Amino acid sequence: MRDERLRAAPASLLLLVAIASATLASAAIAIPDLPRPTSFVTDTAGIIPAAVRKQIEALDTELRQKTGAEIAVVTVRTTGEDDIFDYAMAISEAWQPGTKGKDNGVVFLISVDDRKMQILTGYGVEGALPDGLVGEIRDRIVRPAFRAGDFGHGILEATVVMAQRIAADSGVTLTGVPEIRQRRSGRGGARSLFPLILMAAFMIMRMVEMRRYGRGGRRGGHAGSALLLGGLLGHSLGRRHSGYGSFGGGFGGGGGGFGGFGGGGFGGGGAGGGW
Amino acid sequence: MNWMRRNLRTNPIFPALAILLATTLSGCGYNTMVREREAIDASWAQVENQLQRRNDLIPNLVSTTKGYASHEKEIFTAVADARSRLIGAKTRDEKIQASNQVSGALSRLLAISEAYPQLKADTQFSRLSDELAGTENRIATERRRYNESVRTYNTTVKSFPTTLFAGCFGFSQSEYFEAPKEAQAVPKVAF
Repeated sequence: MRDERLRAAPASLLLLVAIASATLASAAIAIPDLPRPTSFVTDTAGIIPAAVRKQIEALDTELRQKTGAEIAVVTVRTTGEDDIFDYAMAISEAWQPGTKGKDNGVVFLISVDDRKMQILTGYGVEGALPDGLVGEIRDRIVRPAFRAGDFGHGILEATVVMAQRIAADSGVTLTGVPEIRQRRSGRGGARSLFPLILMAAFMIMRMVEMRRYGRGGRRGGHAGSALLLGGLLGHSLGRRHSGYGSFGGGFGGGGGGFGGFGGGGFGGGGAGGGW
Repeated sequence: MNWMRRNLRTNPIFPALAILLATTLSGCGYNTMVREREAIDASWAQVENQLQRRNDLIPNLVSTTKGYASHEKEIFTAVADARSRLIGAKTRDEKIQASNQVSGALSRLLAISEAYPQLKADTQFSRLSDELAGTENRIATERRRYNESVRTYNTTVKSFPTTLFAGCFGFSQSEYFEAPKEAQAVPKVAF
């Protein structure tokens, strides 16, 4: 009896290996024809102007150099049968942006023909980018820009805010932050003044808050929104412009061009929706 | 006992038997089953973290909603009941049932919010809805990973020849986290 089992052992091992590899292969959401990452910005839908794309890539490169965090922007025409969230999750599991162990990656997926977007935050940036804040970025930045047909700047500005939040959380400052233009609301009158007043109010709150608590530490959703708006205002007023000479510095790697992302893990956090 | 100890040193058959036993055990997939059962427990812990996170969000969400839709008492009771049932749940199976009940109650709560434009316009409510949607997505993700580790383990337990040994060592099949369709609908709500 024992002898028989011993003889069966190698066969069972082989079987186990086969099962294990089969289940490993199916461990991620199976979506065929996922795009491959070509750089930080994988624009398969072709909606991002070249100049904006370079700005995003320069920003992403600086962010990676200073914090190890990686923001992957990916556009597709459609996610087909798959839900936008599932598709974004599949990308996060296949590409794994973020540093391994720190899990500080972000996936920003735009499905143009479906008019849907999804931002996924890695485990390690959930503190810097709580879902509520990501939802706010979607509502205040992404949706208005996308509705106006300005994909490039919607993506750029959202990426700037996210990169700054991640940098602030790691205690570093990004110097190559591109200028964010003021978008005209198109409605005019007192209505367009209201956001400015709101921004000023938040700005004051932010200053008070910073005086009281200093720069470090985690903040709740309310303080987060103050920081977000304050940051935006700071940008539109500051108008700091930098050269984009740093572009390309992060893309080492031989053979296949783009060196690839770092192996970050995702748990499904973030926010998405239509526009 | 003394007889055994003496023989362990002197009789070469005992070390040989030990080696034989060890190889047989690893051959029959004992170690694999142990490892895979550990993986299930680890992924279940992640599921529980997210269930806890959602439970923590509920009081804020309910109180914000109450501010605009105070007379929808039935749904608030349903949410509170489901939440406390999840807190009181002991076994994995009870937790899965209770979690599905929470998901169902929350999706009804969000559906109700559609009828209150002022509630939908409330910034606090929007942010809490985003947090909730994100957490439901996290639960869905961890649930999927949990089910994957259950499937891996169950496949091992059911496969020949490991299945011959699984029973002897107490490796029984593990439960999947099945979520009803309506519960899965929650993260798909478009805001």
